[in-house]
Amino acid sequence: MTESPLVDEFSARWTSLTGTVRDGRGTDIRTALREVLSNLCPDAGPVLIFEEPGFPIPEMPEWFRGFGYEPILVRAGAEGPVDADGHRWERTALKAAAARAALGVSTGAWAVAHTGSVAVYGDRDHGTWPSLLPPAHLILLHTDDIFATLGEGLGRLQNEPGGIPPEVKLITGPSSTGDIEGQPVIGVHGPARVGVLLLQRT
Amino acid sequence: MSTAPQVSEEREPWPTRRYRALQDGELRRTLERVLPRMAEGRVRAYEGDPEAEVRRLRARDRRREAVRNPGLLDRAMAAVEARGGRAARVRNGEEASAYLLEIARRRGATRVVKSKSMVTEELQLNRRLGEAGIEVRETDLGEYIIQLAGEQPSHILAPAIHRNRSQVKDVFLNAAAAFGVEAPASDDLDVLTAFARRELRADFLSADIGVTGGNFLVAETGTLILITNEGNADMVTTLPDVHVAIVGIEKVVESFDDLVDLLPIPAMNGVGRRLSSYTTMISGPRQPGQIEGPEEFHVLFVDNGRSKIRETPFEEVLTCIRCGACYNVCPVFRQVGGHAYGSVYGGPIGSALTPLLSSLRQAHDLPESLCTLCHACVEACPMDIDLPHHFVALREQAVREGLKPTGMSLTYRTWARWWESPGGYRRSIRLARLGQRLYERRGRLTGGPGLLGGWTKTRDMPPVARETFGEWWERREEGRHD
Ligand code: SF4
Repeated sequence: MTESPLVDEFSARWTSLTGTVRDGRGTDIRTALREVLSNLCPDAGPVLIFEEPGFPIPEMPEWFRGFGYEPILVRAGAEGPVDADGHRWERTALKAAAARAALGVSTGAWAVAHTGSVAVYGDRDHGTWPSLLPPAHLILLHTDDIFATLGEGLGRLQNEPGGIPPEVKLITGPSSTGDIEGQPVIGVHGPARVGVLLLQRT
Repeated sequence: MSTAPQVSEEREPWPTRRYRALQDGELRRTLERVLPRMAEGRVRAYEGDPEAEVRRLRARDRRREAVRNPGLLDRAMAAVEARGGRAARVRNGEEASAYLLEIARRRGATRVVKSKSMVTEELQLNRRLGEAGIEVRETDLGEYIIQLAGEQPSHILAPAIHRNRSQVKDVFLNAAAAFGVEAPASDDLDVLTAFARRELRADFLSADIGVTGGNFLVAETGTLILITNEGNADMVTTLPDVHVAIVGIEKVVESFDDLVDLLPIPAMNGVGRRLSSYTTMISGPRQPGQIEGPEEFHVLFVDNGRSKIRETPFEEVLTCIRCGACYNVCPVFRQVGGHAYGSVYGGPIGSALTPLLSSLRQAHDLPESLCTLCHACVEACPMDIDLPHHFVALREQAVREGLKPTGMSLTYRTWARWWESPGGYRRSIRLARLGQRLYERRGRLTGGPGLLGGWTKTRDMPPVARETFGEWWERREEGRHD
C-alpha cells in the first residue's frame, strides 16, 4: 500500500490481469529493476529499449549489460530513432532486432487506474514494437501519469502538444486468447508477461 | 446496387442445418461450457462497476445519433485524408478487392496478413484476393484455425468455438505437414498456441499488406479503433508497409469524446472485462522519421447493403457494435452454434442483419425459425436493439411478400379467423375434440392434418381436454345462479 489511492487502484487492477508491478519510488531503482526482471524475463537475453526524449532512466542500458543482458537501444533523434552509436535505425533492421528481443522496455504515456491500462505511443519519438514483438514487456510509468478514469486519459491524449500520435495503444494485461474451448491462454502474439516499474517524476 | 451475398445460393434448408448441429455432441458440449460463462462475465462486470450502466446508456445514444447522421461519413473521410491517409467508399466485395488489388499491383505485393474482421467475411475478400494470386493469412488464433480447416467462423468473438483442442491439434498437424514445419507435440493449449505464434510470426514479418476491420472510426479526427486481446491487429497495422482498414459505414462515430463511453462496451458486454488487452487508436500513416507503422494507410468504407437499412424501422440494427452478448445468451444459439445459421453473421443479430443486408427471400428462415421471442438478447444488448420486435416485423413482411408456402399461410389465416372471437374459439375446440380421436395415442396427439402432422413429429401435443377450463367455469357459474 502507498499513500496514493490511484496508484493502489492501478496496481491492484494491473496485478489482477496477471501483470507485475514494482514500486521504484524512494528505493534504489537498479535493485527494483533487478527484481522486476526476475519475474518478467529471468534469463538474460536481448532487451529492446526505446528511449524517448527525457527517458527517465538513462543508465538503464548499462544496468542491463551489468546484469548480463544485451541492450538494443532505440533512441529518439532529430530525424528519427538512432542506435547506441548514433546511427539511424533502418526499418528492416529494427524489425529483426525487435523480433529477436526477449524483453521490450518503453515508457508509458499515461495510465488508467479504473481499468488497469497503460497507454503507449507510436510516433517519431516513441515506439510500440517493444510492447508487441518480445515475449515480455516492461513499462516505466511515472505515478503522476496515472489517471482515475479512461476519460481523463483520453483528455490528456487530445491535448498532447504534438497532436494525437499516429498510433496509440492502450494496454490492459498480457496478449491473451480464449479461442480454443474458451479457455484463457496468454502470450498468443504479443507479450505473455507485462510489468510496470513505478517511478517518481524528478 | 449489387451486394455480396450474405448467404450462398446453395445454402441448405434450416431442418438440415439444425439436424446437423444437434447431432454434433462435441459442439454442444463446448457451447454449453463456454457461452454461459461469457454471459455471466458480462453480468458480473456491470455489478462490479456502478458507473458502467450510465456509460452504456450514453454510448447507446451516441451510436443512435451517429447512424442517423449520414453527413458523418464525409467528415470521417475528410479527416482520414487530412492526416495523410486515403479514404474511399466501396459498395461491395468486388470494389473492395479491386481497390486492394490495385495497391498490390502498384507495390508488387503478394502477401496479406489480416486481423479478424466480419465485414471482410461478408465481402468474401479472401476468396477474391486468393483468385487473383494474393495469399491472405488470417492471424486471429480462431480465424487461423478455421482458415486452415477450410471452415466458416461460428461465433463473432470465438470463431473456432465449434472445435475442441484435439480437433485443433489435427488441423495443426495437417498444416505442419503441408508447410514442412515441426508439428505441435500435444494438444495442450499452450503448445497449440505456441505453434500458431511461431508460424504466424513469420507471416507478420514478411507480409506486404495488412488488412484489418475496425470497431469504430471517429469522424472528428479520422481515428480508427481496433480492439483485440491477442495483439495480432497491432502486428498487422505496424509491420507491413501498407495498412488497409475495411469498415462498414455504420461504424463511424462523431467525436473523440464519444470514445470514453464506447471503448469499454465491446469487452464489457462480450466477455465481461473493463477493456480488452489492446485498444489501438490509429490516426494516420507513420510520420516522417517514424520507423514503425505503415507508409500507406487506407480506409475503405463499405456499404454492401447498409445504406438501404437507414431511415427504415430497422435502422437501430446498424448501431450494433458486434460485442457478441446476444449470441452468448440466446437459447437457440446455445444449442445449435453459428454454422446452423448458414450465413456470415450468425446469432440473434445475424438473424436480423442477414435478411436486411441481403434479401428476405434468401434468409427469411432466420428471423422465423431461429428465434423463440424470449427476449434474452434485448436484455443483454448494450445498444438495446429490440431484435425480437424486428423478427416479428420481418415475419410479417415475409407473409406479405408471399415468401411462405401457400398451405402454411392458409392454415394460419384460418386459425386466426376462428380464434378472432370467443364463439369461433369455442367452436374450434369442439371440432378439435371430435377430430383428435383419429390421432390420439397414449394420451398424446401424434400426427394430424396438414401442418400439425409435421409439427407433432418432434413434439408432444396434449389433446384438447374432455372439458376445457372455460367450459368448466361456465358450468360452475351456471350452477351458482341456480
Ligand atoms: S446486437 Fe447488441 S448484443 Fe448483439 S452483437 Fe450487436 S451490440 Fe452486441
